[in-house]
Amino acid sequence: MPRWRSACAGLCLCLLARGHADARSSTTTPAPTPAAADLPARNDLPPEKRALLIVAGPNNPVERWVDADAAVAAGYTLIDLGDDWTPFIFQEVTDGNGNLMANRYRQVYLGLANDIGDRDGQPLAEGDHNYLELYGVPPTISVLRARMLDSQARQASCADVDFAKLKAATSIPPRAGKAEQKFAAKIAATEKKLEALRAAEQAESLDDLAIKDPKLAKDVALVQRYAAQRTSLPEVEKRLTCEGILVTPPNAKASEIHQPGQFDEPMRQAVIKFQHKHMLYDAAALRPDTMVALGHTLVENDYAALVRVLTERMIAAANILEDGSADTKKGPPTYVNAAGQTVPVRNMVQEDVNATLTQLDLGSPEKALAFFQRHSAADLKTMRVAVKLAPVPEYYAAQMDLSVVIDRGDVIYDPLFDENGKPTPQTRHHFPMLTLRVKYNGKQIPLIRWRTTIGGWRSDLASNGYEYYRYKGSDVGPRVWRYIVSGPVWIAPNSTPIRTLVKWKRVHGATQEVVNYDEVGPGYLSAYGLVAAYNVVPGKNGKPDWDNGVRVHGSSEILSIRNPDAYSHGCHRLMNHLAVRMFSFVLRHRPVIVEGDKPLDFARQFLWKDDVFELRLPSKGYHYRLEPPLPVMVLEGNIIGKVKKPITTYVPKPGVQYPPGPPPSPKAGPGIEP
Amino acid sequence: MRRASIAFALMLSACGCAHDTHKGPPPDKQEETEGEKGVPAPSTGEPTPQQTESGVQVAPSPTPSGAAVKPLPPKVKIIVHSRGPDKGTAFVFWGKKKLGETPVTLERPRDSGPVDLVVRSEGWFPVHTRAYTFRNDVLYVKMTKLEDRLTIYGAKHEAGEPPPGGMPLDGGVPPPTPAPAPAQ
Repeated sequence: MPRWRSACAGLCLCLLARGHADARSSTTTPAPTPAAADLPARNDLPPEKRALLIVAGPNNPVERWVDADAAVAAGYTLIDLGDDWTPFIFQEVTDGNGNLMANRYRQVYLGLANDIGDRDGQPLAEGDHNYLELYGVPPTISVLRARMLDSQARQASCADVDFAKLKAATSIPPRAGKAEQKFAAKIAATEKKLEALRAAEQAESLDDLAIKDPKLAKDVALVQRYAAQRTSLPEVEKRLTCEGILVTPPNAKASEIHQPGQFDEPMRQAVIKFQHKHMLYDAAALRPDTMVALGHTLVENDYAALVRVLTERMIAAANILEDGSADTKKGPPTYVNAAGQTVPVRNMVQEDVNATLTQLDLGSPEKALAFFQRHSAADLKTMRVAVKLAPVPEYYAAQMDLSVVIDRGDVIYDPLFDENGKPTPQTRHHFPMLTLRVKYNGKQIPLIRWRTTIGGWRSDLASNGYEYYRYKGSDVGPRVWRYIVSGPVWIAPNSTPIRTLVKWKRVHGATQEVVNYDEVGPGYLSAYGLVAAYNVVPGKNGKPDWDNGVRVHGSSEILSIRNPDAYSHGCHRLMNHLAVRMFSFVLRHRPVIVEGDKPLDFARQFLWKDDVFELRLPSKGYHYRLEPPLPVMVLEGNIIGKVKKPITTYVPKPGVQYPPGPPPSPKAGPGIEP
Repeated sequence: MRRASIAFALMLSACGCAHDTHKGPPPDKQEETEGEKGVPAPSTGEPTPQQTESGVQVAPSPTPSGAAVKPLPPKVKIIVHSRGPDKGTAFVFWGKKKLGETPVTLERPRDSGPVDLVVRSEGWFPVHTRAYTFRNDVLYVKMTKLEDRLTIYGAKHEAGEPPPGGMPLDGGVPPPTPAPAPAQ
């Protein structure tokens, strides 16, 4: 190994070890630490040297600025509430010359989080907001402050929302126009029939009628549910309007104006915006989770957002991961500690969030509002707060023996259609799961267990220019992560359907089609999300690693991770914010060499309609090399269905007329990457 | 530890982010094939001239030089050339704005986001491309004559007659002679 490399690697390891010395370890006897009272007020310190400490006062909690270093020495953890915070994966380092190893996505991320930039890094239009928590980009605390104060100012305009009526319906189906008229007519007829029966039966109400004649209970429930929905919908409209989400834009076309009582396109767009703003994993409809959130006041929802954002900041500061997801029906997993006791794996995230909210006196929306009224946006720009968190479990160390297991769950190789062109069921009951474990005292301790995806049948562009179905499975067996890439770039293979590679965009005064760089990345909408790890089989005897293109990555395809019928192209997708959490944790608990931004200078042209589009990619993303690589095991799962081996040929799509002859072989096609 | 000072190692990378381009040997056959098929993953190696001259803003170098770092100019220069059409017949557009005939030079503030351009020329397919502003960017845009449509990736050949034997291809039915299947 060249001297510079070994020296650099050594430095990396040292840095990681030193960086972790701040962690709260239960394996060493803590030195006596000064209490909060021993940390004097230091209002004289510049923002980068101080932290806000909140301690109990005679009547109310008392805040004071203290020396940040002294607070750390006293056992406090500093949580960065500032505007230029990013997750670890977007932090930048300097090289041996002191040159900044810039992460080109960092500035875009900060622009998005601060509500000042769009996904291309260009200024956000006035009045626009980035609601991107679902996609792994939480707003800054400053943005939340502005949002919460705005919500408070809007409270008067929300006064006429009848929340009791709004909550009467647990969901409202997305019907509009003729479909709604038809359904309303059907309900009216049913109601008329029931009313006649009620009178005939001399029942006091429809409920009584249902008791007297249980066969009518279903119809009664249908009529009552519809009545509740019709009562609720106007309140939903008022609720979305007073939040500033259901508004008619200036110079709106007719199709952009919401028709009261209809779940039309403006209403659908408003619901999507509301769901994005409040991080609701829901289809674009007034489904139960969305209705519950609509039943909260504006400030209550903003407070929930604050708790979520604080959670991410706290997790980053505390450098923890355990969130209770590894628990089973029997309770949390256990391990044997140094004292020989069997103890449960703690939900560190919940514990530390509770401690943070308590110590910062942010236990309610009212307290949060008071905090934001005390502290200006200028204060928050660089604010760090000091909190005392519980010691981490004894299995924590500067370098942890981490590994990953991916269980594919139920696997179906059957084609999507049978011989008659009829869809075949693809529903699974056991879903793919990713578990991150740490080996401690010879036992594997699961830290998190999250839902992920596996590959399945997907559309594929063949060499003859036609789309077929192709089974794109997820490899099984031992793998490693040698590289983790933040802001990764997905080079769309030639087999990618071209229609997905183009989108409409407003460009310098014109609306035109452009290459869909959203999916290519880097960016939160990228096929690889905000961060990815490459599953590879290590090369032996000097040969390169074997890489079949399978990644574990964040994803904006959030419903594909939750939908029982959805599949990936073979990758294991995670919610972006969880991927950011996990990979940040891995990078901070393993020896890592930062290689930085990798130039690519890739270009490819393709034809779409009558225009040629050129895909240009200058970089592959910001690379971290794990040294040694992290072990990954992909389990086969349960093969269900008739077909027991994956079909490797193209399968024609029903209803498509193809050129004569059999389909091209996928391997003979253009879908092989350089 | 926002900008921790970390030393680094620069590695030669020949990674292909294939994503859904699955190919190569099955995992249980990897012993005999690894390193020969599939997309080569990043491998270790020495820094190469290509990397050090890559134009990336912070190009890592293996040995500290101690030289002061020059601030980057606030503006970048984008030059767009066209390949194919005669001189003076290809024009570059940025949205509604006609920037001029190729070669065109455009100055933009550094890191002001990408610039989506279209190069047009009579008798040639328009080409939509993108320039970046994190560095000076020179584009050589290859253009294709309208009559050479089928040479461009994505151009469709005409759909023809039903396959021999009169059996329509049906969704869900694998073709009769499947290619050799690598075990999953």
